[in-house]
Amino acid sequence: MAAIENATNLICIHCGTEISGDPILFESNAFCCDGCRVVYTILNENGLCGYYHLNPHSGNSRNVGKDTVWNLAELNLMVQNFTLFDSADKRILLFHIPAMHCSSCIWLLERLSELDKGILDSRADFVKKQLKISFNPSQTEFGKIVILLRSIGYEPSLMPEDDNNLDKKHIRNILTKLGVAGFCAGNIMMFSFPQYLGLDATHETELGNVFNGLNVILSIPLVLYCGSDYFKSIATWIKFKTLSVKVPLALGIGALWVRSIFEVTSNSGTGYFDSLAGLIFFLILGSWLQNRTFDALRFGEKARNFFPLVARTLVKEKLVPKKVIDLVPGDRLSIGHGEIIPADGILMGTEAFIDYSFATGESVPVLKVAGEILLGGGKNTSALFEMEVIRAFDNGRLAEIWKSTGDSEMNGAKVLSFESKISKYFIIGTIAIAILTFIYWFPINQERTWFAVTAVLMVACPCALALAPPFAYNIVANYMAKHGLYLRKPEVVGVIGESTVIVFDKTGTLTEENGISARVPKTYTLLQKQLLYSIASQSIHPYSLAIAQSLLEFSELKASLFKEYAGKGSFAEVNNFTLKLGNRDWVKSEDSLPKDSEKKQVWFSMDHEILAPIEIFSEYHKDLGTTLTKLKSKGLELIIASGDSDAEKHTLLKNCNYNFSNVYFNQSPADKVKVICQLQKKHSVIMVGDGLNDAAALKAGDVGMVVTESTNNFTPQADAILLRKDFNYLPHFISIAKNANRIIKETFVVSLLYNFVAISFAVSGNMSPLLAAILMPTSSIILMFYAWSRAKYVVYRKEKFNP
Amino acid sequence: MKIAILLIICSVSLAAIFLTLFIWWVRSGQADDLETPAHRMLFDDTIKIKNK
Repeated sequence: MAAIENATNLICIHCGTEISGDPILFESNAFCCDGCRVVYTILNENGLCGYYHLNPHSGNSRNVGKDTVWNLAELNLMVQNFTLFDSADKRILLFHIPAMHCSSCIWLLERLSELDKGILDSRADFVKKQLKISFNPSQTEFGKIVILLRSIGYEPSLMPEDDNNLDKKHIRNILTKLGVAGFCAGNIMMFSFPQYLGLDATHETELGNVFNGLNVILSIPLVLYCGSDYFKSIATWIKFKTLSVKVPLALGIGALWVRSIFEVTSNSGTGYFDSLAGLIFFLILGSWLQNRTFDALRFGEKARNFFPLVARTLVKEKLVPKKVIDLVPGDRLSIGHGEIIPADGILMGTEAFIDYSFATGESVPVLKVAGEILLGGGKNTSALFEMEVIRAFDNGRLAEIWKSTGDSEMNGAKVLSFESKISKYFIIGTIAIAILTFIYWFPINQERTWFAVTAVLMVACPCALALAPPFAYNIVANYMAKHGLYLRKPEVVGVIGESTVIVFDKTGTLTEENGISARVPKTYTLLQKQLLYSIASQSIHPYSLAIAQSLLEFSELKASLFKEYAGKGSFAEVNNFTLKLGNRDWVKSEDSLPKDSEKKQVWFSMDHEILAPIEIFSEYHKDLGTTLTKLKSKGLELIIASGDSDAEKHTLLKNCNYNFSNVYFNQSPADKVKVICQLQKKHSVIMVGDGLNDAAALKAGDVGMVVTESTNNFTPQADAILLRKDFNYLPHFISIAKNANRIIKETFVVSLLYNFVAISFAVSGNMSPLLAAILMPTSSIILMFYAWSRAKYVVYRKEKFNP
Repeated sequence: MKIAILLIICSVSLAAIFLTLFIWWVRSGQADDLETPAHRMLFDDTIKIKNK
């Protein structure tokens, strides 16, 4: 393998990143960072360089900062959360490996046993990004395996994996049903074929009787097993009064079946087994399509997944790892930079900046000084600090917020798309017509009554509503997934298309991920900027970091003296200048400074001369204004419900050209739910949020959409996950969802017309059995094909004209 | 005509055997992951390569 491909353009042999600085050379191979070199060395020593031969540069860049690195003992405490099976000589673990991305990954991950002899076997699931490892507990341990994975660039996510057994069962069930339905339907179609050719006389003969008999036998598993879901829906209808499109379908299937059996046994005809078989097969096919969820996504549902599993406690000045669920009041914890506070407690000794965006939505970290209470769930954005636990984990406030959002049982009922709305009227109409037919015919001709009533139920079966959506939605959902919007289920497309209001949370939704940035006034001279950078880059205070970030082009001057004062600011001497950077009261020497409480400001002084303050503001998405204008032009109402203080309001409105119908600030999670419920009286609402603090609101909205960096993130109660980089596609997604709904309405109108004609024949009792037998399956196929091709065309046009 | 009936019953039973195989395939979990084995089968078992 060519180590150095091009002298001017070096590429890391491990991860394929272009090397910007000096390359790290090892055995004549170039690496972008030491991490990549280490992985290469491990693989090379173990003869696993086949990894690079399957795909060039298949590694993951190691050149990224990591938050917390747990050590061996800490990791070993987590083992229970990942164990699927445990015995004396074998233990099976299940990991989620976000970095798994190509066949080389599978290759390497399934050869872990060559790197650690204690590992018996490892199996990767590429789509779910899961890795199942079985190992011998006497030869290796959990922590070693995690460290091994980390060392070769496949750090497992240390959130427990659900081995979705229920899901698996469900998918297997549907596949089995699909097989049985295919078998029965195929054979029934064959036996019914002679009829289509007008060889109707067959039912007189011996052969005809065999055909009919086989049809009856084959229809039994078809209806009772494959169609069982539909009959169950009648039971739930009676029990809970919830109507779904399945109820009229069940009535139709039942009527078809009973009548067919009657015809065959009474020797009066051949029945409609072919229509019945075709209908059930296509229905199952549709539900199979609808159930193909995006496996790689984490639609996590537990707040627990968000909390760390292990905390570092201090016992006699020594760090001792402890499981978070075992924490008791009085434990002293050590929380490093970037770690999450696992339980409520009191801050000890120093000051700390805590990012509570998950709980309150406020993106700017909050300053806490010694003795103040820290709530669980906050993220430490300053240096390492110590705290004492005052409440055990489960009583944590966040857990309570979470509990108050209620159980997930309700989730199924909340999706009310066009099809479910219309099916209510459909069933009422069908039953009414059936009853009227009965009343009309019963006094005239009793034999005909039976004939006409079943015909009505059969023909009125809302095939279009049951068959078109799975195909249309599935195609559109796939298109969306390709462009960064992942849906929990394809049906969500329908609800998105019906929505008229979008409620945005601000933090992390409309903003960029890093949240805050600083605006240094234009009046600063180059020297002032350089000095400012020099002092700001010394501190890890979030405001300082933001200031330093905005002045990256400057080089740092060496400070001869640097001191930080808790809750005030920092002081430095650089090149004989005395610099102060901090809040207003700390920097000022007199009281004459203007006070602008509406803005967050940092003040800077040079040799006691106070300069213009530096503004700190939330950084918004680049295309926010245009995206929102486009959404507005699609006829959507836009509303903001944010946990931020009013100070943000001005910058926000400036950034989006005043596009909002309504803006609510200072909203607690409960307030957001209220806002949404209020709107839902008149509208279907899409709630766009970013995480835990919105969980209740996301659930309350008709569609809960989470904006996130990657699909591996914790996404509670979301119906959809939108990648942040694809935020500006949102108007596209909405319009294509509307298109999908239009397609379904079109198929619905077509089938309504068809049904109208057919029912009028059926009511009069004149429907010829042959005509019904041919027309019904063909209409199902035509409707399905129509929905499929229209959706494909819409997606094709979108791809072509709006890339 | 009798032979036709026999043949029909034979063919349906044969199809039923395949259906049983299909159900066994699904229930045994082989349909759970259809992606990874497709990659896995392309790997050679014994390559031990050290880059120079």
